[in-house]
Amino acid sequence: MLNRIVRELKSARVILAFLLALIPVMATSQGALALDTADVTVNATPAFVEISVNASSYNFGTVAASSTTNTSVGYFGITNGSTVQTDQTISVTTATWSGTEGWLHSDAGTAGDNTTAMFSNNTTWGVSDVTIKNAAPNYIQENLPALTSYDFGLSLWAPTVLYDGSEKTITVRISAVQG
Amino acid sequence: MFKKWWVRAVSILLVAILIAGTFAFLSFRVNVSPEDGYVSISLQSNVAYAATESLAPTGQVTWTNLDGSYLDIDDDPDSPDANWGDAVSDSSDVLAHVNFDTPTGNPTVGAGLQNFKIWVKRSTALSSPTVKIDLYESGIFRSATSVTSSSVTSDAGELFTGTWNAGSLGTADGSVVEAYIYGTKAGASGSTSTGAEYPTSEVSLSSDPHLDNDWEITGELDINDDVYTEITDKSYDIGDQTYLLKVYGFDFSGVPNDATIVGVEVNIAGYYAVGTSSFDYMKLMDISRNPVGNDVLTPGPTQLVASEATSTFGSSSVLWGNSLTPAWVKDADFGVCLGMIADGNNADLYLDWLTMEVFYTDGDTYSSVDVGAVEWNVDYTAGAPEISVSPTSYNFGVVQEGSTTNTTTGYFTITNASTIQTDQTISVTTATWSGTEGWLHNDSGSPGDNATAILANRGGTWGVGDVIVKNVAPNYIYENCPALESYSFGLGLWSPTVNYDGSEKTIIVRVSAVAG
Repeated sequence: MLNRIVRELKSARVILAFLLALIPVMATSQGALALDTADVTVNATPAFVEISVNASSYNFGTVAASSTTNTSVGYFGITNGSTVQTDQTISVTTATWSGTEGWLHSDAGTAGDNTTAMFSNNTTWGVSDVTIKNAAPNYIQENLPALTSYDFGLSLWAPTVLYDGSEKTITVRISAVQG
Repeated sequence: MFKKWWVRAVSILLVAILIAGTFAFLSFRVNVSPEDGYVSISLQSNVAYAATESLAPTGQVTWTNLDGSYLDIDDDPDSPDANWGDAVSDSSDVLAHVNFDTPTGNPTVGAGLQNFKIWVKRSTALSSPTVKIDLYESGIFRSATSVTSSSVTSDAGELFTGTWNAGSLGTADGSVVEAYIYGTKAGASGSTSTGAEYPTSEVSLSSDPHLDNDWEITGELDINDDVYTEITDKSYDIGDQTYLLKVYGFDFSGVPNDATIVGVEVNIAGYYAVGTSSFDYMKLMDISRNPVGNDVLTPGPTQLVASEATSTFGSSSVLWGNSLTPAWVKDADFGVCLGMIADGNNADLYLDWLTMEVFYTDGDTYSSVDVGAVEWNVDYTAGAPEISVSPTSYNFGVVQEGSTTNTTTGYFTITNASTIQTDQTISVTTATWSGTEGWLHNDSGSPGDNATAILANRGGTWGVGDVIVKNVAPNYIYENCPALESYSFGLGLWSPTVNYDGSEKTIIVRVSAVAG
């Protein structure tokens, strides 16, 4: 039966062709038709501060008293998804490192008896190093344009006197605010 | 198992469905709008707005034999007031030729789509006049309507609807349309007469100066039979006057009691012999058989001729100096009193018969047409709403939490090509903004945690007359927007008090127009 239907339809192929040809004509002729609506596409981007770091930990390993140990200046990568200019600081979240004989963290950037200090840099160690403090953190990036990412490294100045050999841990934090 | 005709039927059905679908498609608008790399196709009815309105006359071109003016007929025929343009005479044709304001839209061409509706009545119940309604433009006949000659039979009022085709118009917008309402009187004047009646009685009596010769009433004047009322005495000489002959007993009973007597005519057949003779006195008689009124022979007598001939006195419009009434002429003693005079010696005269005819009017039966109300019911096609906006997008850029950011109030221009008045609303097409953390759109106009609001202002000052742009139950941005009136507006964004991310958000603001 299907074959018969097909044959019958073929007999009307001229009509079919005409009607099918009308469809794209109509589809492209909408400009001639009246519209009773008018649309406006509205966009907005929220002012939002958003950063992330690509390496969430680093182990300096065994460090000798009074030693300085650096990562590369590009070891850590900050991905900045902020849609606005930001000011970004670097700090440690506590005043002491964890451990059996936890190190004291020097905000002055001076290592001492069971006291350590940390610095950051994203260009050349020794040039414009940023002291990482617990209180009143320093900028690692000020007036950073929206969506501008960057790298940085950390430098550890080990205490001049060590009280034990247990592992010490501290959290370094990058904070961004709209600048 | 399937016979061939089944196969053919199914095939035809498929083709029919395709045809129907295609032409249904023709009735829709296809709107193709590229958006973010894909194409959306929406179908929307391409609506033509059929509309109607009723127009009352706003002036009169011709107002003939009607009292008042077009102001008496500019009310709704379906609910007419008490005012009429009354026919000033029942026996006159009337004409109310009136014009109208220009319709809102061009009258739709099509048989019977337009009509004039009228409220009319007949001026009297004595007969049924007719009415016709024609279409005119600027005083020029265009076409008849469906009311070409309709009898008006109501004494209180009746409706007539004359339909016509706007294709007859010379001016497509209908601005010079006129209704030509013509009422043709019906009825008759009712004027008539009794016909010539013979008398049944006659008497002769002397009355100064009619003292010389008595009438010889050998026969009667009651029929043409050559039997005469006569004077043959040889003493009837020149200058002698006969007695008065009073002739009465006419049957005028057919005169209606409310008729108006307008004339009396008397015909007498007679002749003379030997010496001539003339009628020298003739008056009508009252119901006491007394001669009254004018002597119709004044100023001079009328002479008989030698062979029998008929003399006529009075006419259909001569009342002989009397105010005759139906009761008078129907009285048995009503008649004519006459006297004669000899113009020669030994004159003889012979009167064969006499008839009297009374002429009267029996009140006419005319009725004309009173016009109470007229309207033109216009069927027209209103243009579909048609608007466009420019520009079609706006980026508020980076917005702070809890902030308000406005365009100018004239930033967007709506070009309104609608040929009809429209109501235009403004809305957002979705309840949320697109984006990774899509904002919620607040219809109350209150931003909140990840929720925003939009306001619109139509060319004014922000804060004054702002319109909340809603997703559901949109507000008007322009209600009763006149045809072809374009305008501008701006948008104000109230940012969320808390943002969840910094991804770009998008929403579509839509202005919609419908016939208003």
